[in-house]
Amino acid sequence: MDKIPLTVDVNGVKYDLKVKPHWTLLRALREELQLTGTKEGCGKGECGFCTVIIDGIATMSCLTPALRVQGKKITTIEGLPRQGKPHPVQEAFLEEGAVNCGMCIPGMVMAAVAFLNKKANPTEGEVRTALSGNICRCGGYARPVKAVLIASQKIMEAKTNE
Amino acid sequence: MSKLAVVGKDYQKTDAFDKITGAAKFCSDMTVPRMLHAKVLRSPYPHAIVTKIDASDALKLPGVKAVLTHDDVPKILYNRDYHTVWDTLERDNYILEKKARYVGDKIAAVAAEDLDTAEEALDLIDVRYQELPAVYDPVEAMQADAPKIHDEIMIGDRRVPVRNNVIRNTSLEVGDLEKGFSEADMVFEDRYATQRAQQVASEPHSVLVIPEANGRLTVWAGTQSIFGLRMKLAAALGMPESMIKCVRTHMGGSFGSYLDMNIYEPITALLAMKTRRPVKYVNTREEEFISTARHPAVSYIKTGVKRDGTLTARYLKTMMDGAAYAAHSAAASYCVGGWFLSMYKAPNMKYEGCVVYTNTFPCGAFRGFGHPQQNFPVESQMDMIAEELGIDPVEIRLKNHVGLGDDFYYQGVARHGPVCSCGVPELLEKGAKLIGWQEKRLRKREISPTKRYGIGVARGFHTSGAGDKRYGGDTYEYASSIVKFNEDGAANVITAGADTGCGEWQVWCQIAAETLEIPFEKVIMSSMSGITTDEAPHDLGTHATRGTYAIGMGVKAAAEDAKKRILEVAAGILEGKAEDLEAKDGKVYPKKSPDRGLTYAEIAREAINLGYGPIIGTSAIRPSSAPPAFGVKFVELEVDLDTGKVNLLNVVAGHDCGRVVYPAGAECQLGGGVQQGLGFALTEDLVIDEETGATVNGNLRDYKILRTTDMPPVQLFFVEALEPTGPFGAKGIGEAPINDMASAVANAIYHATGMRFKELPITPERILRALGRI
Repeated sequence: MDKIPLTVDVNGVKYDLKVKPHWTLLRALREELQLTGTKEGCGKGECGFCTVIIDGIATMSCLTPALRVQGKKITTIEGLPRQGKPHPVQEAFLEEGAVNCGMCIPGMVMAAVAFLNKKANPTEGEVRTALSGNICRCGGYARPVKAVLIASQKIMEAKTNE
Repeated sequence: MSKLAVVGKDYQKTDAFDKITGAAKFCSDMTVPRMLHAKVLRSPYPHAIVTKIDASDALKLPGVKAVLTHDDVPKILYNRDYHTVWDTLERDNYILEKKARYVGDKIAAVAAEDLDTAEEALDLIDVRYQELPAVYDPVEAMQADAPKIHDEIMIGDRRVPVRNNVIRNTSLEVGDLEKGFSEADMVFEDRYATQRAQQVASEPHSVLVIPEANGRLTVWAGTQSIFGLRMKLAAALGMPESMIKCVRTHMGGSFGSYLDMNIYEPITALLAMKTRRPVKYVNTREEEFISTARHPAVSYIKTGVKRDGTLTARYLKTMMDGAAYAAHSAAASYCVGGWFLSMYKAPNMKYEGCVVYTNTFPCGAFRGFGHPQQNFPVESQMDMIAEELGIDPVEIRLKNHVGLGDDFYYQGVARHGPVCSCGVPELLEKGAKLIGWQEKRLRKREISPTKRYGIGVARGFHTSGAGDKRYGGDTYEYASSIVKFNEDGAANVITAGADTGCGEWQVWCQIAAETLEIPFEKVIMSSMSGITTDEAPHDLGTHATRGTYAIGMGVKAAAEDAKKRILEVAAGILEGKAEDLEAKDGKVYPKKSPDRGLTYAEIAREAINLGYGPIIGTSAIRPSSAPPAFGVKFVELEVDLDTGKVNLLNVVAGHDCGRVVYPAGAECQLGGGVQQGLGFALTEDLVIDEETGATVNGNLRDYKILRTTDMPPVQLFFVEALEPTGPFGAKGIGEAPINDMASAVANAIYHATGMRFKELPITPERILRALGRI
């Protein structure tokens, strides 16, 4: 099967890729760009491990055909830090001890970042709903949920200081 | 004990930064040049003989580099279980089979240039099967006319015929059971069943095998034990262990699912040897779901009691589904008995366990290793006894639990020793207080015409490691580590111990820092992802809740040895005697003149310069004990009588792991156990279709794991009953948190509705059926 050209912006870098028509975005990211921070847990859109941000929207990359992202802007876990400094959501996960095995973490962080970009100062219930597409098997969710609430405060404080 | 500086405090976990940035490489993330991709052709039938197999079309497909069938594999029977000593294991697998024994059994394997080609090649392999009758129920499998799943297996070097599909019978009697029942005022008898639940480690199993030019194999694999994998892979391939180098990586969870070699490691190794190219295999989630699970069990339980709640006799008979290949089956059945005997005191007790082959996919180790299978019957019946006798459920547990000085059976029915630390009374009393037990038990249960409120309790425990060697060597248990100083005074911990994601590396670094009396930041876990069996000393790795207790004990001893060595070297440099020196706060100084000290960095640097060599401490320990780490769960819920749905309102979970070394990690373990246990109670059940033998719901859509929005508020607490044999008083935490959760839920549902469910999970369907609504 011939590969088809695909132009895409990933983490602020423009790439000219060649992908097979049936490939998912997840496969293109992991196999063509070696961006393995985005994980595959089920390949069926059930676990949320593969969540990335496409033009501002948290999306499961395992359900997204690679050719559907032509010309779009994609952010993965590798693209979150700015000048080497982790994103406030990443910082909050570190400070709250929310990282266990780490398979669900990239997807959960991306879902949280996209959510907090749209919703300042959410309630715990809203955070739980925002993360309900992201399965975790290690820690019972308490720490990631708290980390997202703390991250929202960090983001608001940063905006106030700007 | 002096005040602890590092143990008991929270730090940023050793591997957290790598994982939060996506930099951490799991095995499934690995790629190497010239790497091929493997796929396995699986049987569509539950029981069938391969009569013909033709791979010629597959081999003609461009990009296909090798196809293997049963004809190409060593004719060595293997068993994949890591922790049981080889000579006692039922060996019943070939790397690829001539006879399929479950839907999904391993028939052929392909290596190709890319995954698409490997998948396409599977369709081109022509296999003819002769179907055989299949059996899925262990009781039916024992009947004289049942299909024979294995004719003959190997145990050690002996050929052993299999009779009535029975893998093993286990029996132990303490005291005189019949006498115990004759002394009872009342006797309770019930039958309970627990289901085929799956570990669902977040990362599907994967392996990368690189054939080296010198004939050795380098094996990257997510595994709880690089040495266990090396042992079992060498055995399956018929190679010396030293020809294989297994590499530790980050692991995406485990819960016991990585406590055995799976079918993929030897298949991938053979493909790599045949093609002389690196080969990688990654499970799909659907394949993961038929790779391993908890052994389903049906138990008959009988308990004799006096009117005051004293137990006179306890009996459990468990029939366990041993699946198509033995793996951990015999050990799991054996351990059910040990856990049962250790739940409550009675002068007369008996356990009988039977584990039987069926045509279902292999089961393996799953967090709790047989404990939930007996906890559900025991804790359900304890509630019934309490109600009948008019005793509070908390009180009857306080009265009868195995505690200080009592015998604890820590790894099956043969291995036991006295309990030396016990937080059970405090767990029950504190948990009751936190949830408001007294007041809430009396609360009105009818909260609306269709909703009922209930509150329940259950308790359990798990071992910390596999214990000592007094009772015969059927289980490996051995801890060994290296601690060595760098020239700047920082120290490295070298251990084969795996971090399944729960922070084991963190715990070992904290233990080393505390022992060496240096800041946590100055301890490095050597090659988190990358240490191998070539350089790490032998240690069986992370299982049986032995990480903190047993491996931690090994790390502590190695650090003590390094500290001793640094004193000896300092004595040489200072031209004095080691016994006149003291090591404290990263410095060594003469006891008489504390101002003349040398820092660890100065000593480590001088040691090399002056020819003392690097400062290295080592350890080699078989722990003398395996203390129980106790837990308790309280749960409040409401049952909707219209829909059958259980709405979880609140959980209070307590655990006694002795000294808490890394609090954030301990909380995640306990909270994660609550989540997994609630799933075991209410939703998680892998269903086998009795027509086809296929797994019906082996995917994350139909196998329901609790999500953020399903979780109730969970309050966690710890009781630190310090363990005299443990490092800094620590015991384990890993497995216990799941063991008693489902029992507490079942007890709360009974309290809410008056309906006693004896089969897990308690789904809306089962509730509606019990209500006569469907």
